[in-house]
Amino acid sequence: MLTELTVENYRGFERYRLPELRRVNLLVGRNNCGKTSLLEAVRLFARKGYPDDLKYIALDRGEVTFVDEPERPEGGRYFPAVSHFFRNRQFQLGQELVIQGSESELLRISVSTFDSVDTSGDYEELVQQLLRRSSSPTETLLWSEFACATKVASIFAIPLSTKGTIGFPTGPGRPRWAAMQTDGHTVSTNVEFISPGSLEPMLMGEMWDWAVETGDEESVVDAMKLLEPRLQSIHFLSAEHMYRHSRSGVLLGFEGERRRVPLGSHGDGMRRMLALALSLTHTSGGYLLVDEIDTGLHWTVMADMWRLVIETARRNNTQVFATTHSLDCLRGLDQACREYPHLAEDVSAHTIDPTLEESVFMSAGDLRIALEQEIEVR
Amino acid sequence: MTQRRARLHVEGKDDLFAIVNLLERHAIDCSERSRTFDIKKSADGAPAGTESVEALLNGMDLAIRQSRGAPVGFVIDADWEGVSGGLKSRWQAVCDRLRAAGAPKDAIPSSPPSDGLILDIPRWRARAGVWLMPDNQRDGTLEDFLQELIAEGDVLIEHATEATAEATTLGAGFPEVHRTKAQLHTWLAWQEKPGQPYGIAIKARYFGHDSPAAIAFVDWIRRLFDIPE
Repeated sequence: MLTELTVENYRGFERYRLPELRRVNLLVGRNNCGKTSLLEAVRLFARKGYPDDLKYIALDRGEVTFVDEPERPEGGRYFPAVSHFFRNRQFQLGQELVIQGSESELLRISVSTFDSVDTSGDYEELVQQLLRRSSSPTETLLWSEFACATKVASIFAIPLSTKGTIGFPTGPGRPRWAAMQTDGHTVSTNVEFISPGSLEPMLMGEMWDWAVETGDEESVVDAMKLLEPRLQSIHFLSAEHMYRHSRSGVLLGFEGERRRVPLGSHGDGMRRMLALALSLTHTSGGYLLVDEIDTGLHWTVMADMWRLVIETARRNNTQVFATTHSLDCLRGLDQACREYPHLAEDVSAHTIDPTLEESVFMSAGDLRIALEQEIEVR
Repeated sequence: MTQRRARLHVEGKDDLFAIVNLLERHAIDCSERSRTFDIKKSADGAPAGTESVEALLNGMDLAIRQSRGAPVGFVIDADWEGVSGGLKSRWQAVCDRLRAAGAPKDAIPSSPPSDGLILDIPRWRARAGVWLMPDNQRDGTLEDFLQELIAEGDVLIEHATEATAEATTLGAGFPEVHRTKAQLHTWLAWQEKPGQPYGIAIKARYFGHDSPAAIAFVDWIRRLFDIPE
């Protein structure tokens, strides 16, 4: 579990620190203050700078650059560009960003060339893997290195195009990247990033299948019981046509009722709650990152949502990072901590202001004071 | 990033209206539309049973850390030795909060400056001000500050003081720490419009506006919120 996180030369931040992280952490602030960037920093860190995460973050943000492909009849295509991960948004040799966690774990992502990489010792084979198929030895690389107590734990070396796009087009026979991972430092799969509206029914279905496979479906039902104590079972229908309409496909079974009720009849809130419960089960022992956690939720269910998230995160040993700019969402968190005081110790809130060097940390107690005294924290 | 609004935190509504009307008499526009800072009483949000001064002190650290470039001020009664330990221990409580808010230890004076404290806390881009009623130098409350705004030789305040003393011998139940308050309300009962609250009594000029403490207080407000003369 992360107890603090520091980023350097990353997105809008020269150097920025999130101290006092807890089981469940809510990042608050105005639009464009960097909340989502910090959520992505946790994702990159938790995934040790895995190339696909860099790629999908860039694609989700629309950070793409057009690259000519003379060999393709259609011409060029847009590819994920790496420049935006760096503070000056430039694609530049020697450029480096750092994401540092607690216990001296450190992710370093830099723009480098084959020439400049130390080819001796541990890295030799890695570089050779890439060199063997590289068109030119001066080709640039994105070098993503995860170190634990100054010892290198894993490296991903990703070839970049001259435009600074990730690995593509790679051309026939060329690897998309090369990897080196020491024992016990494989990339965790229990990291989930949810952006508003990203949980489509099929994805929920996939997560449900996963829960069924690992025997965790009870845990999802238990989480949902926090909201609907009479809930007994959740059913995903398997006929494909059920998924054509976004509201069909999931049925809920209630105590003493034979007939099952479509999830859609319970409104968007319940659907969003199920998505959170599924994600929390899916990320057991890892990280759940939720951008705009209040999306689709009425203010009256915010406290219930927080109770579900905190209780389930605790049960599943998941660390949660979420963002919001809604006052209702903060009020809901406060209400959950007032009604269930044992939740408070697992909660932190952080105001993000990139003009400072660290987030403004708030315990559950601070959050209560802020709401009582109308101290603006967003 | 949008800047926060500057804000003055006070204990309760008596403090709020007294301060607003005093500032108006010093030509500092406090109308909601044009004032350069908000005034917020902590008693509003305080849970039942919490002293408003406690609520104000509890929120100090967060209000400073969340201020982000907008000055934030606190007006707090020094109170009495029998109530809270008086000026010295109230100042101690304030210092604890300032340290919690990231103020460097050597930046906090060991006793309150007579012209009010103004302190920059670079870690949070914060400017914090503290004024202990009545004058940063003595035990007391808002009422002791107000009493000095009554013209010297005012015969009614002399009479009110004597009458209050006599009332005590007749069994009046107010606690000793509220003696000045009892005297002031007795005196207010004998004005042209009897029994007005402090704020209106300042506006109506029953009170003066330029005791040494009041002049120092208004100057502190001007410096804290950067309001030109």
